[in-house]
Amino acid sequence: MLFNSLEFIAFFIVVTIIFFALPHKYRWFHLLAASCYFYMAFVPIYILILFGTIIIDYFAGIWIERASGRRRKWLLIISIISNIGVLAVFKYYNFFLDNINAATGNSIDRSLLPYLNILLPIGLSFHTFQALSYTIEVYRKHQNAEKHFGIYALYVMFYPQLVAGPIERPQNMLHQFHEKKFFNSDNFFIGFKLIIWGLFKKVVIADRLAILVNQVYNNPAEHNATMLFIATVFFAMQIYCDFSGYSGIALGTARVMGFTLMKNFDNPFQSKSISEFWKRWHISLSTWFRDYLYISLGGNKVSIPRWYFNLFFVFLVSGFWHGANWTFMIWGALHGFYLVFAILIDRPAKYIVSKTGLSKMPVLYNSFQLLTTFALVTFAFIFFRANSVSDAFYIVKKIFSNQWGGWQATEVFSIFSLALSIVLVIALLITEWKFSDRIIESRLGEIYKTNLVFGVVVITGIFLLGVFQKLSFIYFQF
Amino acid sequence: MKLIKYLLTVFIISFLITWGVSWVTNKGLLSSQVDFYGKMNAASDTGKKTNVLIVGSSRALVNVDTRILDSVTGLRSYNYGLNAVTIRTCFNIMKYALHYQNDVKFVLLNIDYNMFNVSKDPYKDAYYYPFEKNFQNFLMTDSTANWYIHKLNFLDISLYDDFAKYAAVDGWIRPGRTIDGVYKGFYPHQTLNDFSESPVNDLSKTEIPVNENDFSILNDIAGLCKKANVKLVFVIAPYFKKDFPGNYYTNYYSLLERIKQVAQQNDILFLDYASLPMASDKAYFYNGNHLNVKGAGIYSSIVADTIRKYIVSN
Repeated sequence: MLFNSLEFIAFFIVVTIIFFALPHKYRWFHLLAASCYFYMAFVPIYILILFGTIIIDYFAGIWIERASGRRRKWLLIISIISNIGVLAVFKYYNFFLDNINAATGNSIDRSLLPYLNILLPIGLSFHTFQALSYTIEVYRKHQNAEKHFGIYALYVMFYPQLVAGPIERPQNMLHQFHEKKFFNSDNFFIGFKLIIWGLFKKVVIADRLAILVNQVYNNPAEHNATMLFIATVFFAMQIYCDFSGYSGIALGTARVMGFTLMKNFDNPFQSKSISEFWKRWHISLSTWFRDYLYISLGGNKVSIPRWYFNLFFVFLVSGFWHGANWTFMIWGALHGFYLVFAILIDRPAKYIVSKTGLSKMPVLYNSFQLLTTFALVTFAFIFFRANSVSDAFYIVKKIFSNQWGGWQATEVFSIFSLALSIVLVIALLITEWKFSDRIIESRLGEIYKTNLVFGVVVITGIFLLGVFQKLSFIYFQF
Repeated sequence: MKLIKYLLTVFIISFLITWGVSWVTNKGLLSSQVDFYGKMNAASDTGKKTNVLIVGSSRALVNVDTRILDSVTGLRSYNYGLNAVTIRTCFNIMKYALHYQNDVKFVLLNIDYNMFNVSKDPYKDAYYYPFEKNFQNFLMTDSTANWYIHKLNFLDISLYDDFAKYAAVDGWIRPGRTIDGVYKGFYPHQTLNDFSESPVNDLSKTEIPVNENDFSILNDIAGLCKKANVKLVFVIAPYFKKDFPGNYYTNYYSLLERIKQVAQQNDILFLDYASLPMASDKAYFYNGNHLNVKGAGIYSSIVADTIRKYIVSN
């Protein structure tokens, strides 16, 4: 069940009405049942895997809290292994097998190590990380173990963020499920605006850009450098609108019921450096890696070479988290490299900026930083989107060659679509940079006319310019 | 109360704007005289009283001169050729035109070897047509479209692809726009030739992609014409000799045989003019696949003469 479908709108309305109609003590069960139904709309049988890990982590949490010393650590390790184990089997097993086969020249007996012909459970990487954050937080004594099994299951399965995040922390969510929620018109108002703005980004921009991006990236050899360049820039915008659109809808659906999820995006294309980009892009994942991997490795409180390694390694793992493909690994490695390189050149860069007087021209300097960051991020996205490593290198090579040409009209994307897309992207960026947060977070009665215009423009935009092809969200595959 | 007032106001204004834009777009599309919407406007114009429908890709559009056809046969023809069309859109256009044109005697379907793979059809998303709220009943549409949204008729506009949006804008800005040299749908190549691009990228032997479901549409077309009591003609227009598809497609002849079989089984007149004597003379071609205005004149005379003889003998 996709957020951008009428089935979901009907589901959401029914679930919300019943939620507020029920007494508080039954609400957790209602939300859990609704979340199970939502999850089972994809591949029903996989709910058993989810329940399996929920049961393990539920008891692990309680036992970790009670235990001490090495036993405590072992319980955490069991929880981590069981979660990562599921992830490894479903997401990485075939990838490892591919690489073992490639390394050994296919000399391994297939009957001993057969390929698994299975679909990846939807959102597996997300709810695995969310479950891990619970046991780790209990282990670190930042969170008490949740005794109510239903509430713990709901923490992992809460349908707005079940399949693509935000990857929540127990400190933010568990207490909210215990609190009694009352219908609040401000929450509804803000939630409604989050939903329509997210839907706008998904169906009006991301799905429109996807038409060209898919066509070009699925046949890179048939397109000139101009097309590859346009598709690459479009992909940066597509993935942003797709994922932040999803996150917005997730935040909005939760908010209507009175739950506050963490913000996942904060105008990432306003970033003036890669480190700033990661403070604004997929915040719930980047903070997860920071809190549970980077800091566990020692963070920056280690020797300088080790610090560089920590940074690089975390981003490499982040790439691997996204998918069992070398393309994602290279994408992660590139970001790791960017960060290490930025630290290395920090002092000389500051020296050059002060010597050239660039620091006295803030508009020029900021624009330079903004564009450089965008270019680096977009370049890395080539590897994220390409169907294979060879495709990615082919695209890079072609873009940096002199094989530029004119616009290649496609069967599905006219020059009119291009112009419309560019106008929409620019309008979106300006709106997000200047207005949308202020409008969305405003309460009922505040800046009423602006809210009215916002609602009308966004809903009319969805009706008139939406691409209703029910394209899935990119991050659902992770 | 404030919340309800806000939501009602937002939705009512949005629906009104959508309805208004929908109305404006419909008007624009109905004014279009070019491309898909231009052809659909012509098809539904009952005043045209067309006797001969010419359907097919650009090889129908630029090759069959309706002036010559009319003068030789004494019938009223209209060229519904569309660039890069596939067999499915050909079928859809025929269905639509036969619904409105009650005097049709012949349907000339220009057969192309590459029309049996509808995934490449640029018109596959052009479902919407202002005259028809139940357009889906006419056409074999793609089920990927959002069925629910489509059922809400006032939201039809959200289904328009960008080509339709452009056509609507164009229809408003240039309502009388026609293309120079166009005559009843015929759109000749005025430039003498441009052989700079080969019709295929790779001249090594390759296979023509044929989707069996798409190929079976030929039988549906035969059934449609039989039901409408219309004589169906399969015609293959000339290719410049060097670019003859049999030279570089391994399955061209077997595909041709299968088309011939469909024609025989359904009593369809089959005219293979791919290798007419004119095919060896570059002077008649715009490029490897398309005739220029001079070549189109000669080819159209040949086609028209065949039809005339058929009329006389039947």
